[in-house]
Amino acid sequence: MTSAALSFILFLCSLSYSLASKQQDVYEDLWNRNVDIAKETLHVDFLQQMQTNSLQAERYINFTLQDINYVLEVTNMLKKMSKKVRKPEDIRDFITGRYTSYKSFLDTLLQQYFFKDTPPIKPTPAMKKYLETYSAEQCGEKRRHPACEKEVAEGWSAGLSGSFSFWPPVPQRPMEKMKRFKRRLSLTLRGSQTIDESLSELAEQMTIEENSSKDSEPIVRNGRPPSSHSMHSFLHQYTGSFKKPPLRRPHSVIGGSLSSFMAMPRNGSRLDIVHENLKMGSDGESDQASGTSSDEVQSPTGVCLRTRTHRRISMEDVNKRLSLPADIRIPDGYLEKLQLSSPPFDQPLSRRSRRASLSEIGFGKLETYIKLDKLGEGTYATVFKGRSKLTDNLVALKEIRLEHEEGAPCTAIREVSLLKDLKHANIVTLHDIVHTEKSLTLVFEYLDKDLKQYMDDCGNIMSMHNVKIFLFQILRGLAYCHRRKVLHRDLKPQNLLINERGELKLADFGLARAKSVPTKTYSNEVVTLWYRPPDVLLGSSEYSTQIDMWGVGCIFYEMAAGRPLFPGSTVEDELHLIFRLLGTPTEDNWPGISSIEEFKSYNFPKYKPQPFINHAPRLDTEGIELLLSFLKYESKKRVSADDSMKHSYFKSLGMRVHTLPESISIFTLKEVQLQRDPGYRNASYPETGNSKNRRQSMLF
Amino acid sequence: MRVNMSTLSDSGFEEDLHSPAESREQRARPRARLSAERLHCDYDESCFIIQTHKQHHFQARDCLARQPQITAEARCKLVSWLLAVYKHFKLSFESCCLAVNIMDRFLVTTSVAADCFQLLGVTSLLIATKHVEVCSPRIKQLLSLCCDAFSREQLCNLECLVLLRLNFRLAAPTLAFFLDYFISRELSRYAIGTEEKIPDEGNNCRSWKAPEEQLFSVKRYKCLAGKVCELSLADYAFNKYRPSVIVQSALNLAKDLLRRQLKESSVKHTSSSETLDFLCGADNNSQGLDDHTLIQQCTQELKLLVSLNQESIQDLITL
Repeated sequence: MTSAALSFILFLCSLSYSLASKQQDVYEDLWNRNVDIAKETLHVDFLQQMQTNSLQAERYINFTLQDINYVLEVTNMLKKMSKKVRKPEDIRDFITGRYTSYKSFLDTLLQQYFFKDTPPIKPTPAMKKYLETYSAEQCGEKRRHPACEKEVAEGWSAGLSGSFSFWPPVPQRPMEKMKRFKRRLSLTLRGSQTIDESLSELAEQMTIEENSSKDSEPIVRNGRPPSSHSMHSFLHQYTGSFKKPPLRRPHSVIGGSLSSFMAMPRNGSRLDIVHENLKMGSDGESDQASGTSSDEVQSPTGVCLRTRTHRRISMEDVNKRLSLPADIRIPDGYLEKLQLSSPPFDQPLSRRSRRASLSEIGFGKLETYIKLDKLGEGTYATVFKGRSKLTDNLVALKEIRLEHEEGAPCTAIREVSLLKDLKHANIVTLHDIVHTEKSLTLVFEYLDKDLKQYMDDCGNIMSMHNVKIFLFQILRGLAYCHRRKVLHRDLKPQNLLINERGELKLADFGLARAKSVPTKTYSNEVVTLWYRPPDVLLGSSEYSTQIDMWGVGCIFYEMAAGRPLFPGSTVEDELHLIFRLLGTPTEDNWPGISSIEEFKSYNFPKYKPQPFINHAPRLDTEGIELLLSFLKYESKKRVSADDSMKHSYFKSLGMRVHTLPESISIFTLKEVQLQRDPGYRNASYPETGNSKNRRQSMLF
Repeated sequence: MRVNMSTLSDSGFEEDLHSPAESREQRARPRARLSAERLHCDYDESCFIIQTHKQHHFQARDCLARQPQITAEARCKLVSWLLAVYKHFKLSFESCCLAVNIMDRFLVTTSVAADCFQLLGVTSLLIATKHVEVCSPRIKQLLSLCCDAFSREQLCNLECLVLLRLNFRLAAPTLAFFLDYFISRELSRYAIGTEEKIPDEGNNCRSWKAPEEQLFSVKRYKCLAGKVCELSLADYAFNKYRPSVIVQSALNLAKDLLRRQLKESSVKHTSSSETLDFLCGADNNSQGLDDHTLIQQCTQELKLLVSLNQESIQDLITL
């Protein structure tokens, strides 16, 4: 095919790389297969469009995994029916003209095959036969998922089918014929079948034109390498030979010149900057802001394939069309409304109208969430416990006031933008963002307690096995962040949330930041004193991923021993506690310490390191070894999160914990089970005194 | 290397931490650094790969294609102004790159009136600094730089609008990141290289004798590459290249320029030229994941850009 297809493959490959760098073996099969299929079936024009419009491409990310499954299914169906398909023009129009995204194309295609009442492609006898024998065929073979055990695979493919980006994988219920059907289909087809010639025949029928490849053609300007040795003549040579200067004297433009001719109409608060009538072709994100009306749920082109009889729209259909989790609740009246106002149901849903209908269902709306109790309040934000009317699940609502002198608070901006990129089983999920005029509400998943409360509830005596599981989960989440150069910078038990299953998640990324400049200086007022590494306490402002590791060590000790390791009240106190236990640092174990002014001015006595076994008798030697490797004075000597997970301390968790896909919780493995904590008081309703103070961590 | 490690360790546990298999591996690889440093590199590497692949989603190609009022010239003017503003506030180059990226991506989603373009620029800068810097400039300061043509309310409204339109996706890979990554990679390679040189040609290693001069030329190399990147920000023609491509091209160009100049000047700077030669050697071994012809093409365009803007890099070249 053409270079466009090739570049699409590259695009897919890079996608697969970033998504699945860790669990390549899991995805590899699927991706390779689908790259082939995509190459064969998708129209070149569309591929190119996707290439050129990178923003659109960005949105496809959210859907890719699911879409790939669709492609898989549809191709296989097409493959079997290809010879009977009608005129090639039909297919081409089908793809390019009427559908704004290939998702909607595939959606429709699927529907047309499954709901046989109004198919645009006339069912030939062969097709009918195929559809009838279809299910029988599928029941035959059952394939195990390539890399994981069955339950993991279940969770994984459930994650695939819950497509809206911030929805967590919802365990799928066999409630819906269609879904079950598809699932079985995709499980089967993931098998060893290859694309045979019938597919390429189809591709020929579709008369895909060879596109002139503009992009990848290397345009080498005819400049010979300049022979002159003088730089100036070298540069002049270039100036002379080209026409329009792209940029002249970049700094000659000063502040006034641009604004001087700007006569800005100031009519009230609404900015007149956006011409709605000139709205660009970008569908999607903008719709949320611009508000939605029901008539937006229309075919983008307004072309009906043919007049159809209205079918009753069931809840399942709506769920399917919007790719919502199976247990979602749709507000009363929505179905009636859809029935009245929307075009026949078989009509494709464009991404834009999908967004609109998502909003109609209640995403991005404040009414969707009921506030229950207040969990805490800070300068910028108030945190409420809440309930989502859509899923009936508990959520944590972090309401951020925007009427601040300096606009949106930077902690909120950072937290949202970072959490958008962090999707991991051990990092708290951001479900939704609700924007109103005066506030921004972040909707997080609700977890019952934080680690501090958990430790309190079990009387500070945790099972050592649970300590290991929790520590591993902390490290797993942290390793994921660190690989993306995101530092948490505020690790403490209050920021580690735990649900009933024992899943631990990192929360509160308000102080974290995508670290991209290694020697960047941050303010050193970040980590809560008890979990602060000594180099930060002594005024070091050079941060690296290792600053989080000291805190991990402190938390590890606290879980194992039941009391904080260094509960200092001032910087000096904190340092004193550290040195008394680990020994006063010397040039040997901390090169450069003697030249730090702060250290000299405190004039600490020369303590000797104490054996740790006296302080944490419940830790075995491997545990102590690991603990000490977190608590190194020199930050670059501290063990990294990635490496510490491979420490022999975790050997008892088995090897499979290392190969789990990122979004899968470690509790999906049979060998990982929480034990009953020895000191656990049965406090199923923890309405204790400290429940008021909890979730302080979520405040700024 | 191994001996080094155990003497530096501050507890008896250091050795036990590394499994025997690992240490054997380390001995086998002579270039392996101290374990912790090596791990650091691993994070750098994985971060680089992630950022490289993320570029697709944050690239704003043809952001002016459907703008009725904004032209490439206007964008050039505005970005040049933003460059001056970021220097005025002594912000990092990172926030400047991010600001331009935010602005471009917003332009893809929304058409903007020409008289509000500056407001968009300044809002993007504000968002970028909030994301990157420890302290962002105050809104009042920013507004006064626009001659108070806009109100605080307008800026705050636009800020929200930008955040929503971009769906809060701000962590874009920037020129600054790649510049930093490629330079530190080249330098670490260079450091390894010199270490190896000392024992080999102990009597004849000029490069080791003039560390100051070396440092100086490396610094100049960094500055020059940074400056070229800065210039490329303002030119709409470079929107079609990914940041990693631009950075690699800028580094190539900077090397080229400095080498030419050194040849031209005298024999005095032999050590610096050796440094550069080494950098070039390192660079030929393996580069990033980008297409080679694309880098060449971009280098050519950068050459043109630099030659058109000689005044601005004059002081960097003629030292």
